[in-house]
Formats: sequence, C-alpha cells, structure tokens
Amino acid sequence: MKRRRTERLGLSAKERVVLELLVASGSMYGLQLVDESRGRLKRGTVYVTLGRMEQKGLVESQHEPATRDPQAIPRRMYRPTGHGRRVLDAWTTVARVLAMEPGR
Amino acid sequence: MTRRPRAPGAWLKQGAEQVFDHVTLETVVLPALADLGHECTLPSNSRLSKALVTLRAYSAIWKVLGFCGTRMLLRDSAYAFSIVSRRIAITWAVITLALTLPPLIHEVPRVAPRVNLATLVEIVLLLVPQALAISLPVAYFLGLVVSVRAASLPDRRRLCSGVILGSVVCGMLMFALTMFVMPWANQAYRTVLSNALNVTVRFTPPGGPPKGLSEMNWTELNDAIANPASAHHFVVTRAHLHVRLALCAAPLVFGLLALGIAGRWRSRLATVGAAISILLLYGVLFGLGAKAARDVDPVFLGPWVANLIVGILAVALLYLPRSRAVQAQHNG
Repeated sequence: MKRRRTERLGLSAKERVVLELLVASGSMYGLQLVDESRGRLKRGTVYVTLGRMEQKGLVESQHEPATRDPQAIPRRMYRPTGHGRRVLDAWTTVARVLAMEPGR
Repeated sequence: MTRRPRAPGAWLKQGAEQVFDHVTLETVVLPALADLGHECTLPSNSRLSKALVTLRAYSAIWKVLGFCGTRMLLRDSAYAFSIVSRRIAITWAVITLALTLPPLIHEVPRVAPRVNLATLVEIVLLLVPQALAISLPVAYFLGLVVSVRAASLPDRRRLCSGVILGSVVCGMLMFALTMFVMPWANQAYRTVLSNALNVTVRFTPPGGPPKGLSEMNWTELNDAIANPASAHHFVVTRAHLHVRLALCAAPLVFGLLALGIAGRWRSRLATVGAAISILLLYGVLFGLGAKAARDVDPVFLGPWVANLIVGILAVALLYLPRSRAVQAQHNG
C-alpha cells in the first residue's frame, strides 16, 4: 500500500517537463509537447510517458473532434488533472525549499 | 473508379491491433499514429522537406512500437517465467532422474568393484548430460501444458509471447546441450570408463577412444562434413547433424503445441493424456525419421519430419475452435 502511494506521487524528470508544459498551456497534443520542450522530450518516448502519466492519473486525454477525413485516426489532446497540478505544485515547492536550504 | 489512398500509418495500426493489448494501443500507439497522420498531411515547401518529415515521423513510430513490443515481451515473459518455471524445473529433474537411472543401474554394478569412489561419482555425473537433451524439451512441454491449462483465458493470452520467447531460449539451451555439452560428456564418459576398466588399447590421438559421431561437437561435425572420408560418411554425418538440429527446434514446436492443447479439454486427465500421446507420437516419428535419414533424399527430411507433422498439428490445435462448454469455463 505504502509503495503504491509512493509510485503515484513519484515524478520523473520527463513527467515533470510534461506537467509544466501542460499546466502552462492548458492542453496540448503529444507532438506539440515535443516541439515546445526544446529537446527535453523525444518523439519516440513521449507517448509512452503520457500513457504512463494517464495511468497514474496525472494527465487526462480526449480525442479531437471528428476531422474531415474519416480514415484519419483522431488525435489525442492531453491536459493536466487536478491531482497532476497538485503533484507538480508539491514538487516545485520541495525543489524551492531545497534550493533555499543553507549550504546548498 | 480511382482507388482512395490509405491514411498514413493505416497498415501499422492494423498490425498494432493484432499485437498490443487494449491499454497500450489506446494510450500509446494510437496517439502516436494519429500525430504521424497529422504531420504527414501538413503542407510543406518542397518534396524533399516533406519526405524528411515523413521519414522522421515513421522512425519515431517504429521506436514507439519497438519500445512497447519490448516492454510487453519482457513483462509477459516475466509473468510466464514466474508461472511455469517451477513446474518445468520439477518435471525436468524428475525426467532426468528417470532417464539416468537405467544406464546407472546397468553400468554401476559392472564397474563399481574395479574403480574407486571418485571415479564412480564421475561416471554417474557424466551420465546426467546425456539425459538432459531429451528431458529438457519433454519437461518444458509437460510443464507448459499443466501451467497454461491452469491459467485463465486473459492470462493465457499474456502467456503466448512469453512462451514463444521461452521456447527460443530453450532451443538455444538445447543447441548448447546437444552440440557441445553432450558430445563432451559422451567422450569423457567413454574415456573414464575405458581407463577404469584398464583397456590396454593404445589410442590415437592419445587420451581417449577415437570419437564417433555422438562424441563430435558442432565444429567437428561441420569439419567432418566439409572434408568427408567417403560419400557414405558425408551422408551419415549430415544426417546426424540434422538430427541434433531438429532436436534443438523441438521446444518451439512443443511451446506451440502446449498453447494449442491447454484448455481444449475440460478434464485435466484428458489434457495430460493427449499431451503424453502426442509426445509419444513425436518420439516415434523422430526415431523413424532419424533412422531413415541416411536413406532418404534430401537428408534433412527424415530428422525434421516429426517437427513438421507435430508443428502442423500444433498450429491446427491453436486455431481450431474450442467447444462452447470449454470456452464458457475459461471466460469465467
């Protein structure tokens, strides 16, 4: 139980970048995240990261409205959940407190 | 009537739907393919830049698919390993013991009065590798049948990729056993035995009796085929090599067969009975094929015929519809 809770609160560097970008912009597509991250996110792994974050409840997604081409696969738009925003806030606060600690 | 062009990544989507589970497909693969489709339809300045964008997009997709595939394979293999490894290990130990006992009973009373304890232990230990090459595929098959049968249908689907990877690993282990360990053990056994029994024949080269086909390893067999003493020797050596190679492929055939058999019958006794019957059939076919290998052209046909027939049977069992009662039982 304890381990599961830690896993839910854990945030990797990539997940943090994704959350920062999503909180700043509201919602984005996977490809937009890669473009906006300035090289911190890679195209080959961003979808795996987003999928994992969705399972952890940090982000949620919805399909874009139907396009003109019925054959096209609908794109997925991601946005942060309330839990994701709180986790990012907590991490930012912890990082700020650690940075202010004397001797660091 | 003009044919409508397919959307970018459409065939990749079809392939991914066959391979990945629903969650991976929905959360990782389809979003990636959707972005690929979007990127490929964006207008660009030149054909070259469009080609570069498409190339970059497809390489990213292959990376995503490779990552998901590897993750799925490793996850499912770890699951399969945790479920079946114990059963296979126990069955392997029992069958190895059962195969080692008859030569042990035959040889030990004969040599025991004439050798010391260390030599006796050495002789007993050298008998074990000779049994391993037969006991491994048999134990792998029976362990799998029992384990896969006990699993529910969703778990059985997860077991599939793990079983295929396990079969490949088992096949590689069989290659090491049949091509290197067994010939070494055979030769060592003959040497120890001839020394123990004070055979006064002078060997050339010194150190042990001359090697027969069963004592030659992979390199020596290939050398013997490349430089045959006679046409007959060439055929016999090739046939022997194919017998060993066919034995290495047996775990793959047995893996598929286990997936096909498990869950086909409601009764455990019927499942195990069918498994043992097919195993005996395989043994008979393999024995006949190995015997006939020297007389059949092409040489490889004889040794491989058992794998071929049982392999076809395995695929048929995999795809033949199960009875409604059995399906209902597995769907829970």
